[in-house]
Amino acid sequence: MKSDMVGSIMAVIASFVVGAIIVAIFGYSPLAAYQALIQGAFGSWYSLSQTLANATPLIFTGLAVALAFRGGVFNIGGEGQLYLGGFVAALVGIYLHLPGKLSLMVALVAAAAVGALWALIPAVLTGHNPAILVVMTIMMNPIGTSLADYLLRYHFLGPGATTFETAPVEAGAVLPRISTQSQLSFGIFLALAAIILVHYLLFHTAWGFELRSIGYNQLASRYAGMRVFKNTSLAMLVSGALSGLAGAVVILGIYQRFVGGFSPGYGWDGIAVALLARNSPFAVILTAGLFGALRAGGINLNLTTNLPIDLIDVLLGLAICFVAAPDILKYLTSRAWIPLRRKSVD
Amino acid sequence: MQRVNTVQFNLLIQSNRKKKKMIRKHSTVKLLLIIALLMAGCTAPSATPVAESPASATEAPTAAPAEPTAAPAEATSAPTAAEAVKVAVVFASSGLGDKSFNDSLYAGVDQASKDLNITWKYAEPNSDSEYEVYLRQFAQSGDYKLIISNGFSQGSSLEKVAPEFPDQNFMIVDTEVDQPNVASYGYKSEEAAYLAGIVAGLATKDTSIPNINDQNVIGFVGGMDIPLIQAFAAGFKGGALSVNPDVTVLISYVGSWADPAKAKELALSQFQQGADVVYQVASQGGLGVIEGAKQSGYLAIGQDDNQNALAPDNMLLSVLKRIDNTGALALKETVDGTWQPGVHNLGLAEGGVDITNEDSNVKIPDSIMAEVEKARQSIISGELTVPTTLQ
Repeated sequence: MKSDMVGSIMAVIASFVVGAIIVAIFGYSPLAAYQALIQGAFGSWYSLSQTLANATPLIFTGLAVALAFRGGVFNIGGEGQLYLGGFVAALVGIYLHLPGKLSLMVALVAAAAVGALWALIPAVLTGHNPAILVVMTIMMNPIGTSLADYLLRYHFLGPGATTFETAPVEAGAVLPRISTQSQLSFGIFLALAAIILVHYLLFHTAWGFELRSIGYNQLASRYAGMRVFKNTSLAMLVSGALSGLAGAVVILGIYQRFVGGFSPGYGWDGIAVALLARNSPFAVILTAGLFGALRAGGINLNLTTNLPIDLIDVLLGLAICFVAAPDILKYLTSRAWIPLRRKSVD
Repeated sequence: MQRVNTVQFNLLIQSNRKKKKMIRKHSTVKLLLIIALLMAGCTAPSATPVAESPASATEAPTAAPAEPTAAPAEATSAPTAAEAVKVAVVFASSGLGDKSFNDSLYAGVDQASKDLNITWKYAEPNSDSEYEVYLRQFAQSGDYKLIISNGFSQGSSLEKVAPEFPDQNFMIVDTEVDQPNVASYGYKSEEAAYLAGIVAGLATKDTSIPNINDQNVIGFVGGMDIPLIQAFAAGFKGGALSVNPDVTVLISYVGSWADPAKAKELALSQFQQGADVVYQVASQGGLGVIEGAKQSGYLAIGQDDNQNALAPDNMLLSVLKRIDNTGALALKETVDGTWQPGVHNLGLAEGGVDITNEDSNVKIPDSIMAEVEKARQSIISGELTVPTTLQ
């Protein structure tokens, strides 16, 4: 595991190096670009809080993917799960009229439940075939987002709405912001709690042991008497609940109403977050933080230099390429720096 | 069988290196597969219909253009030639290249900034949650004389940010934000609809124009049956009746902003009832009307953007919201020091709305255009008031 994390760090560093080269090729100063990026991500309390605000939903979606991945199932349906989760959270906050903070709690629980349900459907339908599960979870994304959009458009638009959004949620359902000026909400603490919970589930419960065992070798686990379908379905359930919460913290914390198409791809980014974190719950906070920092810094980059914000996507894309194809890095490093080490290892 | 058993425990407890390596390799393949799938998933037309332009559903032409009362506390000193005025634009999250209101505003601001020696900076938010961030960052810098929010979808974000910076001037296009430091620009689209009505009313009698039948009927398909859209219908009908008192104007409403299928059915039904020109004010649904015109071989009128190129043989004209002129106007006012917060409804006089036949293969006879120009002049001079309600 440790060497995996080193690989991830190497991949990120490599992506920044290659990114710098790209920036230079296009005639900009890489130094100024990265300075703007760091300034925008960590330069002040405000930018740091924006970094954390951006990271909050990604911690949830990253955990969702990592947890399922540990059991050998790929939950690529995070986008649909979080979209529906956010939608239901908003509906609870608008229409149930629960007293005080009970409204917020019920909204969060409802979001988790809907996310879990949306993840469970493909798990149950595909039964024992994880390959089909991948496809199914992907296909559930447009179904989920379209369903929410349909319901929003025809039944839940805010009064007199000219935009594609619901009425604001009641005050009791709002996930309070830590300061009024930044988008950072108390959702970050929920995210941190989720990390601990997932870590506990994976590494300190019998279910977690079985799940990881199944992830390593399904056949062997089955032979050892573990119930693969039950365990992976349960993993999808928890994973979906985490995704649903991701949607809820964005909707209740940032928008405080449901806005159609609110997610810029938190569910997809969650896969990359988990990938970079090598499915380690505690590493998720670092990788989600990296994503959050790049997004927050990217805004500053866009404002202070003339570089397009798309550079951020280039950097993240490169990092993922290097993680997914570690041999490229190994080859490069072994050839370029330490030609002898390879021999000694062999 | 026994091997399987040992494998399991090797993996979990003894962390057998060799096996682990194998697993890692295996998972790498899977990861690549996922990434391939992801890319496939991402390139699919992102299913996020952020209701880009609910047919000008935002300005309220019925609301009296509230004359701004209190002058803003901003400094009115004209900028010296040495220091250029700086302006910032936050585009809608649909981004540049939308061939619609973002591109239109870009063109207008770009041109005006050259003419007026203004430097400008823009931001392209990734998602609606970033509006707030960009608006705040621009405002925090204090460098910008005016910050432009493009599109109604930024309304709630601007409502939040504007009070935090009472000395910063903001403007928003296509919706109203009621703050003392915000100028809201809307459009008197019924004025342009009136001109479109004149063209349609005269064209339906002129069978020398291609795709015109011998019946004196035209149609209107609106998004929703609300006062805002009724104003379009009233302008259109008023224009048609002014030049062709016997014309029948069929009016139908889709009931939503994004239902091209239903909009198309309504248009087809109007064509069947003898209409040869149908004007759509149905946002995304309007594409269905254009499709219906193409299918049945009649003519449609577009709204908001120049939609003539979508079906050059079946588009009579398009009614435009000139977002570019709006941006240019606001920049000019900023430089002149005449910029005022409050609601501004731009009509023909301000160049806020217009009609165009560009990109269409259907030629409109000069005699019709002469009528249009006459009406345009009397609307601009105030001689003629365009109806905003259907009788």
